[in-house]
Amino acid sequence: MHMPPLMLITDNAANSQQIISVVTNACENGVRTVQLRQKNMHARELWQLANKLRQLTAEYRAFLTINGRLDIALAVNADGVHLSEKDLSPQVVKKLKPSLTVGVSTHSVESALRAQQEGADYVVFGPIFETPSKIAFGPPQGISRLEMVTQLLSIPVIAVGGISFEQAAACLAAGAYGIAAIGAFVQTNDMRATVNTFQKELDAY
Amino acid sequence: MRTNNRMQGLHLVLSTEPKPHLPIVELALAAIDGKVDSIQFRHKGDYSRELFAIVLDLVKICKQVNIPLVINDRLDIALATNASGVHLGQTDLPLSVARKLLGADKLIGATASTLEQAKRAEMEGADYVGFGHIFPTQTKIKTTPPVGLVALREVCQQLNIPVVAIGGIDAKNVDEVCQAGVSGVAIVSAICASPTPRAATATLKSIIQDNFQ
Repeated sequence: MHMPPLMLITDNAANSQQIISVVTNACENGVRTVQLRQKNMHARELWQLANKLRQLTAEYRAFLTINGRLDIALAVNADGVHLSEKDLSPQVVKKLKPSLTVGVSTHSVESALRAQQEGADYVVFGPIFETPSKIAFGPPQGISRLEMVTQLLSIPVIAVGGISFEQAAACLAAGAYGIAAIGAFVQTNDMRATVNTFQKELDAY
Repeated sequence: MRTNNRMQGLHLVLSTEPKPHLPIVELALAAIDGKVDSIQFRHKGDYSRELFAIVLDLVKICKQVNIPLVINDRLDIALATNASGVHLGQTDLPLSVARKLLGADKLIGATASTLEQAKRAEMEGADYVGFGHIFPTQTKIKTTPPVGLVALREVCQQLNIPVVAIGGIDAKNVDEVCQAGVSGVAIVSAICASPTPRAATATLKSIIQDNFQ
């Protein structure tokens, strides 16, 4: 399935109710790619939430990927599974379910290259800029690293990490296929404006 | 009880938490030497590539000696490694979802701590129930009191699928657990935390065998 280039990643600190409300709002206002990323939920709760998001995204014909848990992606018939660079190899997923779109979060040029070699369909690369949610993933990579990755890889690269509206254009100019964000969607009090501004930049490329 | 009961006898729960003194694969080999009848691998948290490789080794080893290996919680790991099945707790994926993904031939076990949960697990298609915790245990931080032997006996009487008792079982109390009518006995720390896991397994196995003869 086609994965539109503006990706909403759910906030790990939010509860199920908050996530459903943000994703509903985002889909109503034009977001068509959603990554469910909850690291601290038991499988049953995550499955329930994933089911809800699947119903929601299906209504909007939006792309849904599940972070980390291939079983939950399979159980709710998600479009993809999104792996960390330390998780299972994309090959393992492809062997089990070739139709699933596999993404990998990468935080170095080497790791992005490896993800492609191992059969990833796209990578998320970052953090490009300083951002509280990605401090654990090391210093920002910056636009020049992003450009290096987009030139080296033949699969789509999605930029993540503290990307403001103005910087979105720079990421796209560096060859990024799309933009992923957590904070921009959680903090906004005007979802339509947020989505439209990002979308305008994306449409320009 | 089903005739092809694959959860009979001594069931080892190989847990990464608390961290065992021995590497996981060595611990499994020691238990297999001590004639363990089945193994469950339990790891909470992400599966690194190293851990995934360890599970692949465990699957290979268990296939060689023809004993079941089930994976706790992670159906995807069970699928990807072609393990014998999964063991699901009350906060893991529902049994119906697991059965759909795994198919009829894979083993699915469910944890229960009340008769009601045990009956529901049977109704929803579990192949066996892990009932406990029977005695106080330090392996997992428990929010509920131990269920005890009386409740265990009742579950064993009321269920048609095999019941595997778990929680605080060791060589001293395994006799009375067997007499409650269980199909199997699950052991965590009495083997994993033992300085001599092979001998600990062999001792437990011989007591269990004496009871089942």
